[in-house]
Amino acid sequence: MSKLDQHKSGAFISCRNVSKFFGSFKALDQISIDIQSGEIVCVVGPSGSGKSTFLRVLNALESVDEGNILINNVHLPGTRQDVENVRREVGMVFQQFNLFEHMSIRENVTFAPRVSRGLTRDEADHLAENLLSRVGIVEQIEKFPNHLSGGQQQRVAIARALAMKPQAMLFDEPTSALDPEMVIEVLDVMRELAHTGMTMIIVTHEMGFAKEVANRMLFMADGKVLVDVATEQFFDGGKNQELEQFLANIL
Amino acid sequence: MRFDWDQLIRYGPDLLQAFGVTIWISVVSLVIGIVVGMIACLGKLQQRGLAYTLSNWFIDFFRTIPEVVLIFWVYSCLPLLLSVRISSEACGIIALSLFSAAYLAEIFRAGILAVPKGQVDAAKALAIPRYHTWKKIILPPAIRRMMPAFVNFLTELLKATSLLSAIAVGEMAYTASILGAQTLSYFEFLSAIAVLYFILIFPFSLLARRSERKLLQKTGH
Amino acid sequence: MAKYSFPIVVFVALGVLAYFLNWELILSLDFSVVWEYREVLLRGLLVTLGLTACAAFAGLTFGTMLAIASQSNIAPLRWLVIAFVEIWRNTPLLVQLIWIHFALPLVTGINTTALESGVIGITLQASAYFTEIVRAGIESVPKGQWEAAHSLALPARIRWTRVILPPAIRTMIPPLVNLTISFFKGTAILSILHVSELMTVTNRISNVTFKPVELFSAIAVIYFVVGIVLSKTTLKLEYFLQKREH
Repeated sequence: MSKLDQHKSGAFISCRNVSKFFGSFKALDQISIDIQSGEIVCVVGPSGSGKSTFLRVLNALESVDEGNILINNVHLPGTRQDVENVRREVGMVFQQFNLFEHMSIRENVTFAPRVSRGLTRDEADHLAENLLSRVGIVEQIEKFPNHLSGGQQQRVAIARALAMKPQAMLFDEPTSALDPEMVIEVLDVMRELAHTGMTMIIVTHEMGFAKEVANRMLFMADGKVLVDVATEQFFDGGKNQELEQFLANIL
Repeated sequence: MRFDWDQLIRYGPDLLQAFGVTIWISVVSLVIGIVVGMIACLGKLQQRGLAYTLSNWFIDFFRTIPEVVLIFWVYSCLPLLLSVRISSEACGIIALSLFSAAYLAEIFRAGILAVPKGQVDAAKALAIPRYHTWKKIILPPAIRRMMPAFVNFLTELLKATSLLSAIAVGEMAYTASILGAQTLSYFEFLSAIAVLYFILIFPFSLLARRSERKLLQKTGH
Repeated sequence: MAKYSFPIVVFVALGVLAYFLNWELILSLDFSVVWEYREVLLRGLLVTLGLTACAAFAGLTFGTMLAIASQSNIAPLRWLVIAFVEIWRNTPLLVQLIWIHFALPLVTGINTTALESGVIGITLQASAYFTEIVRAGIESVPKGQWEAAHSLALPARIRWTRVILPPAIRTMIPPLVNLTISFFKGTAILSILHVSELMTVTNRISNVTFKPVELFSAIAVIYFVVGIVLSKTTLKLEYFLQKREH
């Protein structure tokens, strides 16, 4: 069987037996999963279960040690060009925002489209103004990140990722570093994005939000995906003891 | 004892010329040191392999041996080993360049490593090409972070130029010693160059401290 | 291609160097001279280490006194300390040494031997550098500690020895050790006055034996080994101290 045949055709993201080690620690353990275009998947699990590593592997921020991934018909691990092609189609939002601190909000959003999509300054500016007004911060466009609240910074980070016109978005605990009153504004932006049909994979602890927007839930522990079901069945719990325990602790 | 201003005025041009030599040697050594230091820094950033090992040894060696020993080694050994004549000035520049390169490599490296990893992650996730990542994402904050140490190093380099008097390079300390011996007005000449060195070095010290304060305010630690 | 460019550059550079090297001389190098003069060199190394220890202890003692004075309420005293520190930190050690040895006696009328001048010079410079570190250490102690000590009406001596200095010293240890290592390097500058430390001794042997390449290479290695041992052990020590605290 060729490498391509192992993957279910049509899936936007397709992982086969993906493992990742940090030294002798197994962060991801034989993960196989398919995600279709337009799906909204929430990943939950105790800390250290490999959720973040899973997202980072999907964006080639961490290398795959075993197994392989097919994203948008590009194989990982792959050449530097493959990696770049994947990243161009998959946006990522980080827990700590990671805005470029020495660039204004405008530059933060326009820089990547200009240098890696080849947009002109005018096109990029136009795009940035559109996206920033969508996330509600267009008035702050000339300010620098450290003049914005955490919630505003995270919304800029979402706009920055969207400016690459990705086909899928990865969210790595996007609200965990925020004060409670700012969580809502970020979730609102994500909810709106979900309604546009964007493929989204979200690592989160916000169960209410997950229940509302996700159509599929993954539960991870010890680097494995233990539960992979539709959202309605997920919160009924039942089958998995570790999941029961986890839900009991968090809800 | 009376402070003999006449001697100072008479030999003023010589002192000024020596002042120029000190600055000239500092600038040349600094420029070579920056170039070589950048190469060594890049080598050490590899974290393993031949480039890393060589850079690491280079940096450790030239940071650890005393500058005087380095200067004497270059002056008395290098011409023999290469069987060429090298002027004492060139020897001084070679030695100070090696010394600068080793120190600057570590300063550059510390600045680059101080850039939060999340910034590079974000650049990668946005598929920003490597060249642009270095130019726009890593270097601007890295340069800001290395500024205090860099300016502080300038004070060290300026002080180190005085050591070249040991191999008879006509910079300030050497010229003052010679003039002192000729005229027996040691006090006047040595005090004069002490003041000149202070005038030259102190502003950099102040600048280093100011840029450090500013950096602390900005990064908030 | 980029992966191999560095090794290629290195090998080409080494090749060019090898071409220009005077192999006749290199093959005739005779390092037995180092062994022959081992006792003299060892004595020189001991003087170097002694001077380093002297700079460290005297510098720390005076530095601590000056740092405490720099916290004084008397403004002129503070200014004096600042002036002292800035003058000694912002001029080269070499200039300080020749100034003390050649210029100062013309004013004071007291002649000092080379060793005395050297010790005075390195001690004064060490004091200035140590003052800065001790002062930074003292200022790193949270203000609340001072206020608590004052509100308990602790006498000044107790306040310093029991409240302020112990936590200050802990933050000061790494920079103090680094400074001591840099004074180990600095002692070589004392060779300008012909104090019998390692560098002076080597110069003398070289003048008699005409074997500068062997001798200077050997002492470069000696300085390197001693310096690297000092700095690596202190790194380990720091790591150990940090681990013990948690």
